[in-house]
Amino acid sequence: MLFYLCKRLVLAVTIIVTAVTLLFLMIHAVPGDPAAILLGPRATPEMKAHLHQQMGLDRPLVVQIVTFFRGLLRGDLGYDVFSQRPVADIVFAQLPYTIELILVSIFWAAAIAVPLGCYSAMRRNSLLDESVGVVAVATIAIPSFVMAVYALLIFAVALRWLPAIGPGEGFVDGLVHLVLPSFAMGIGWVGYISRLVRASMLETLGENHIRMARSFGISEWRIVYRYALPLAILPTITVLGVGVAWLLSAAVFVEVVFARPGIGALIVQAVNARNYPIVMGVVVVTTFLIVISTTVSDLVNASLDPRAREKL
Amino acid sequence: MSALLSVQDLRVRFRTMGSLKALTTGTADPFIDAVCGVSFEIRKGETLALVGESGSGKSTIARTIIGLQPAVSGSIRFDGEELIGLKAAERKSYLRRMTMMFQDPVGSLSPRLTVQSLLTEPSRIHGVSTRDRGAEAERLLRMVGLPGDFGRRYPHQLSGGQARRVGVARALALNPDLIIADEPTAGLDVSVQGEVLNLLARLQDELGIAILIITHNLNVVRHMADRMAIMYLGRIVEIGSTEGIFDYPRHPYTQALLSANPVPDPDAVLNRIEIKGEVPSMLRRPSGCEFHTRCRYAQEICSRIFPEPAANPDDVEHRFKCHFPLTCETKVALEPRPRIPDSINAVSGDGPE
Amino acid sequence: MTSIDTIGTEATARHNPGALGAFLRQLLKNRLGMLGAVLVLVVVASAIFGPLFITHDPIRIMVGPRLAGPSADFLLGTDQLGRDTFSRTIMGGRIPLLVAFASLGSALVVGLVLGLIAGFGPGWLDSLLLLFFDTIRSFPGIIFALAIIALLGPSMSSVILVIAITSMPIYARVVRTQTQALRNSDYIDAERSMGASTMRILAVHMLPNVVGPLLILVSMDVPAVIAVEAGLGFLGMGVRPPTPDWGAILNDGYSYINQTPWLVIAGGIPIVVATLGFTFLGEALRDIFDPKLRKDL
Repeated sequence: MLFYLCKRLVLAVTIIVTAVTLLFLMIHAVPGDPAAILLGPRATPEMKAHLHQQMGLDRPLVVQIVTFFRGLLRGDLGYDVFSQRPVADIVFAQLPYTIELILVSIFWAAAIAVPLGCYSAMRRNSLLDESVGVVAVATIAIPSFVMAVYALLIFAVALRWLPAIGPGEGFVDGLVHLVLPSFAMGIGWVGYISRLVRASMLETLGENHIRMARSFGISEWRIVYRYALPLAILPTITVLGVGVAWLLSAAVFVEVVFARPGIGALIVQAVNARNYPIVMGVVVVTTFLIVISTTVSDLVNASLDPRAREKL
Repeated sequence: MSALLSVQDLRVRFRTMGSLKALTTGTADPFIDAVCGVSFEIRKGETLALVGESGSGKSTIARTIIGLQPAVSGSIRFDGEELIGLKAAERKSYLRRMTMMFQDPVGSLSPRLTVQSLLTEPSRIHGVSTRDRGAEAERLLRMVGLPGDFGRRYPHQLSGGQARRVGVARALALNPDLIIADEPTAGLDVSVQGEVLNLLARLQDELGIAILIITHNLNVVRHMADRMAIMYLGRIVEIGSTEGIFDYPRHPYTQALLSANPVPDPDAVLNRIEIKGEVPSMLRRPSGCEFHTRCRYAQEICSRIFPEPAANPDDVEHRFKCHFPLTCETKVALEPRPRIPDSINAVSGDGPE
Repeated sequence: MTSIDTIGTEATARHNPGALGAFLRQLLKNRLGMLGAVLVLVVVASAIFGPLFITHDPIRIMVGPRLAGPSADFLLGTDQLGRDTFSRTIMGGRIPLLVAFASLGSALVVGLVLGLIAGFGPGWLDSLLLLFFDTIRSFPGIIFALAIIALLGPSMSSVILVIAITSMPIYARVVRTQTQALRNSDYIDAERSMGASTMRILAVHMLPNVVGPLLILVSMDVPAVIAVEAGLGFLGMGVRPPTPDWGAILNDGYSYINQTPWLVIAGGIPIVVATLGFTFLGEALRDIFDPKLRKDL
């Protein structure tokens, strides 16, 4: 396991290094001058040259990459020439909003999906089980931005039950403002998690120690919650780690639709403004998040299942 | 008579772990010698059987001869030409003259190809122009006793015995001089085993092919092989004519192996000799004679000194490696060997595993 | 990195080639699959034969009043530029389908080639390609797509490129795993023992056994691609106006959501229909052809 741990961590670091290098190469490979695009058509050559120097674009590519990595080690993602602030400050100011949105969405989705999954596993092939299955497939398929826009249309515009826009002020207002966005993000996960819990629960319920508990006359619900669930839930958690990329993508749309602050809204603004340092910063930070979460989920998986350690 | 295939001092090794893992676990030597200085010859039209428990390196020898596995050292000469060190393109012309049949009869046939394509695959690979592939496939199918309309079938639609026949037909497609048959009876019903062996023997008589049989089934050896070689931990411990070895095994391992073989004769005296212990790992080869850890006759010298090869005084072709070879008195009662039986139905397929 | 390795290694597809009838019979038994097939048929047919149904030129402005509700003349109303929403919706399916076809097609070809190389080539090349695949898979979906589009400028070809790049590694990994499982199989050894060249082994004996499960995976990715294309269109990063596109229509609708719900409905429903249709059909295909093939998110 220690060997696997080391190998997996080395892989994670290698992936991050490769990812950043690839990003640099891509920016470099694209024809056109980021500084020129940033300044617009009326920029003078002197302005471009000055900006070049400021962004470090006049130096060789290798030097640029090495400088970036050095900065990365200190938590420095570069400098945003527009707002005259460090990129890291801007990105990390927005990150908590996105993480809050993701956590709230996952939390309520899991709160509904876990009992639903257990029930489906216990009443296998019942009407409820089968309809949950169909609805799960459907809600996973429907894109989050369509969900978001429709939620906005129905609950905010037509019925006027809930606020449409912004993060809200204060705790309670903030929560109220989270209802629609987290609904749009979490609904797909209700189906997904409930299917995972169901599958994993069916497997666990077939194991011998559960049969033994059953033979002692312990009630079925107690078996499911006290004995099977703690075992069945673990494989589900590892899949959540892989789902972070998915959640981040959904957050982009949800933040735009509900005009919430966050990392997704930030990158959309930055792309519209052709603000490369910010775009790069957001991509690097989110790639970090994904690599960390997949690494953690792989490690959890390996500690649960020795066979997983063989693969890498 | 000149040798068709001559293997001299062949060595093949496998890596057991990555170099990184070897470094971290402190393994100095992450290799095992799966084949460890093996020498033998096959003459034209002759059948040699390589016998041994699984893991004794017999399949590795076959794979090395055919070029699927690189050799570390030694020499493999086919019709006088050295094969080791040849590039794939140079080797190709020899692969026309020696073909290999693999263990799994169905699994060794490409699953998406029809039997007709499978049978004409060798001629396509070697650029032999056949006027009519359908007719060629039919000729080969008839040769192995299958109906001509089998050409349209896919491998998964064949039974094990039918697939084995297709394999035999494919091996014969380009009139080879040597066929290497890796466990030709594996996975087949006992009755089908007999049919396949008879088919091989008949075709060998008709076409004058040499066969190298790799097996752990001594009944197959007795019915097919002119000569046999017994392998233990990647070495040949005894080699000689099949008759000679069955009548008069000199190496204790051979003796134990032969005595473990069920004999289809209810009156045969069953003085079965048990081999004690497990096969040692190739990672930690015993010192001296490698069989001494399990040998009932082992003495002090056996654990120190590797025995030099010796020959039978009245049969120089019968050679063995043992400090204390068996004499006539320890011979095990075994029934005489018939040339080709009508059927070997009564023979159980179990080897000494 | 966790789940992809296990996909489809079992799938050497022992199906009788040309068993179209048996497949159709099985599809008919699968109710959800049939629903999916019908929805897909509607979407594809309206994209192909759209010009026969449309009532107005989808890109001409001011054919009617701005932001009008449905009427006999404008079945789904009009947008902020007075264009006919019904005609735009019908024609708006062409771009997503084209993008899905082009991007998944190129991802399939590239993934197949790279996967075969990784699975059959020397170990160092395999490790290098794996690192490459895993790196691309670590890029954050839409955020990465937006970054690429920021570099290349928004256009349909940018969208196709982004989707092709991000879908390719999964296919390549599946092909690699499959190839590695097959490369030591007896029949590949048998081919090599006959002197078959590597190219021949890959093309004749590997490819047909690898391509089946891969096609199922690709078909299951179609709804995701339609969603990404529409999403980028929704963010204004997809095809350029005035080309009709569901995502762009939804974006127009979002901008005027307080004035009229019709644009949002006209832009969103086709996206839902298309993604659901392809999802149901894809799941049915997987269940029929390769029940062991499982794809995690």
